[in-house]
Amino acid sequence: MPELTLDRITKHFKNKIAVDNVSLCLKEGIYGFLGANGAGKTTLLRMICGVLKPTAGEIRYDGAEIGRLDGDYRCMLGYLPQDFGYYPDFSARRYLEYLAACKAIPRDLSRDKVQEMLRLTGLEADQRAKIKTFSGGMIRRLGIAQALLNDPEILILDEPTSGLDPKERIRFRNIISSLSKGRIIILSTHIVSDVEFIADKILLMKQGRIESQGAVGEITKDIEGRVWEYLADQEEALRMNDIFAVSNLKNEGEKVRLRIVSDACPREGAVPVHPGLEDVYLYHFEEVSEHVDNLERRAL
Amino acid sequence: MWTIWKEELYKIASRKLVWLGVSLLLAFVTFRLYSEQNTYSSTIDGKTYRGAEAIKKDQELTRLYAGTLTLDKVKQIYEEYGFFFYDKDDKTRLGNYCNWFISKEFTNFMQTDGYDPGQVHFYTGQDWEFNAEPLLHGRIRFDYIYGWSDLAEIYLMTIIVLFILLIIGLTPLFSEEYQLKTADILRTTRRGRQSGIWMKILAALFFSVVLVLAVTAYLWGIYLDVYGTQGLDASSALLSFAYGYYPETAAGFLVFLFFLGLAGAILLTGLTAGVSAFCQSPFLALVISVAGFLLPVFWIKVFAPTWILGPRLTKLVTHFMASMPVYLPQNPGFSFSGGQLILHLCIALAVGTGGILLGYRRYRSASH
Repeated sequence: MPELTLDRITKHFKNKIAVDNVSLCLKEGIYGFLGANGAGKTTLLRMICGVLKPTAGEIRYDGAEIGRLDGDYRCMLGYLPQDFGYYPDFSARRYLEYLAACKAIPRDLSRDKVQEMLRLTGLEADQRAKIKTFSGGMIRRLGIAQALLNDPEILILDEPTSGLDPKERIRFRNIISSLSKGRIIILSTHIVSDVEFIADKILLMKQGRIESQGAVGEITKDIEGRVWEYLADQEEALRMNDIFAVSNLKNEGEKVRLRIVSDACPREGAVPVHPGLEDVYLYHFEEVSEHVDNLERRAL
Repeated sequence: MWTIWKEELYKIASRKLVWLGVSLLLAFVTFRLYSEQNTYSSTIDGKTYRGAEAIKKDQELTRLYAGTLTLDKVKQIYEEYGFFFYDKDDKTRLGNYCNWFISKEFTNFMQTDGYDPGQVHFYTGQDWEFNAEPLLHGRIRFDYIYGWSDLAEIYLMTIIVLFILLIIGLTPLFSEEYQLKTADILRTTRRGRQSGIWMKILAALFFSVVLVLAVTAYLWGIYLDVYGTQGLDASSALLSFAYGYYPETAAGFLVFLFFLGLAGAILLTGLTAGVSAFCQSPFLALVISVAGFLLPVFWIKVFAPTWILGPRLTKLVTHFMASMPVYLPQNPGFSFSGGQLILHLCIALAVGTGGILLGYRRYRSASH
């Protein structure tokens, strides 16, 4: 069973610390990296891929440092970067065949493998079309296809669902779930629903550090008793939205049902409810959320 | 590996601007040559021939005097046809290749306006000693080399333009991978950090070599069509700009020139690959590559004549600059010795290899 160890990984860019002393041991399963933009997820994933070298620390695969394994490590790797790169004048098939060659897949196998990936990602009908004619979703699916070409033991997907519509997102989740056996799948996202139902372990990343980690049940348990719900009138709902981290706001007749993440009970009559992953996210990234909220309010 | 090499070649060869440039270049060269053929004239025994027939007549006439160049032959040509000159009214050539040759090499014709044969006379004194006598030592083989002299000149012009087009075609080699964000994907593949990079470089070298060879073959083809093969065994000293070290025959000289052009293309590929790996945008790589390509011209035309670094260092830098792509094919036009030419080729080899290795290392480890 593959094992990937991150031992006190740190990455500095000039004076800025992008990843700060991260230690992890990843085994078979799906790992969902959740965090706001700029949390250091992409930097960490690029180091795991070997594209970036850590300033300090070591990444080991089954005990061997990945730099030493070199090509043998990359042989086991499938990577979909956040900014997925492609050649606009290549067709989907040509692009995948080229990458199959780069991944050292034998020629007699690569044709079938490319076909299989095209089918899996629903690009079979468009395989001869130039990539520049593809929609954002199709390009993303092509990215997933190339990452899976070599049956990787370690699959790293950075923001894989951006640009996908809800149907494609579900389809993608199902593909990832079906692939998890015998693999380490690392999925970075800031969209909670991408990982909520499929990840074996959630890792919350904030300012270059792993803020919290565990299975969805464990991680939500940490904030048990900090999520509240109650019915408020319209005016109060707006006021509470300014004061507290509101994870949901739903109209019920004349009233509004508020779901609030707060250490203390926000108001008399509010009842504690079972937290979800979105509540956890909001709890940990409140500052960012507030910042975003403020920006949105200013825009309004 | 074959697939990677093929696709890398496709990426380079799919740049339309390069093919447009090559097409325009070849169209210009072809148009110029066939225009030259149409306007060519030769006057033999009072009769004026034009176009392809004039070339044929000149070649037939030269065949009578072909072989070791002697003073007797020069005199015979003069006695038979006089000096060459141009018609004052319609500027046509009133003469043939043979009397044009003796007028150019043995008389003051080039110092006159060319319209009055009465002003033309054989060199005398030191002028004869320095200009005419070296051709009469019995080692010069005379024949019709008008076309080959023209081919050598046009080749140098062609190769410089071709080098600029090669720069346009090759600067995206690595930099485009950064720009398109494909570098990260490629470098996380099994071959993406080793053989994949070599395939890129090999495809670039192959493209450069094949393009230069194809253009050279095309030039040979059209010049053979117009001028035939006569004169290829004549002495290369008769070509208009052969100085210093060069092979003895016109054919040898041309092959040598083409070889230097090819060496320049390989060196240029190495240098461009190196620059490309250090630039995140193909445009920046293009600007830097073109500036680097033209730097030796600035050095030799502007800085070297002022001995800016003192005589010794300026000479050393000049030899280095003369080994760069823009000057390497032009080496026979300078008074370089055989040893200096070999040194220039060694410098070119070292710099080209250095460019490739630097490019390889940089692309392998670059993180943007």
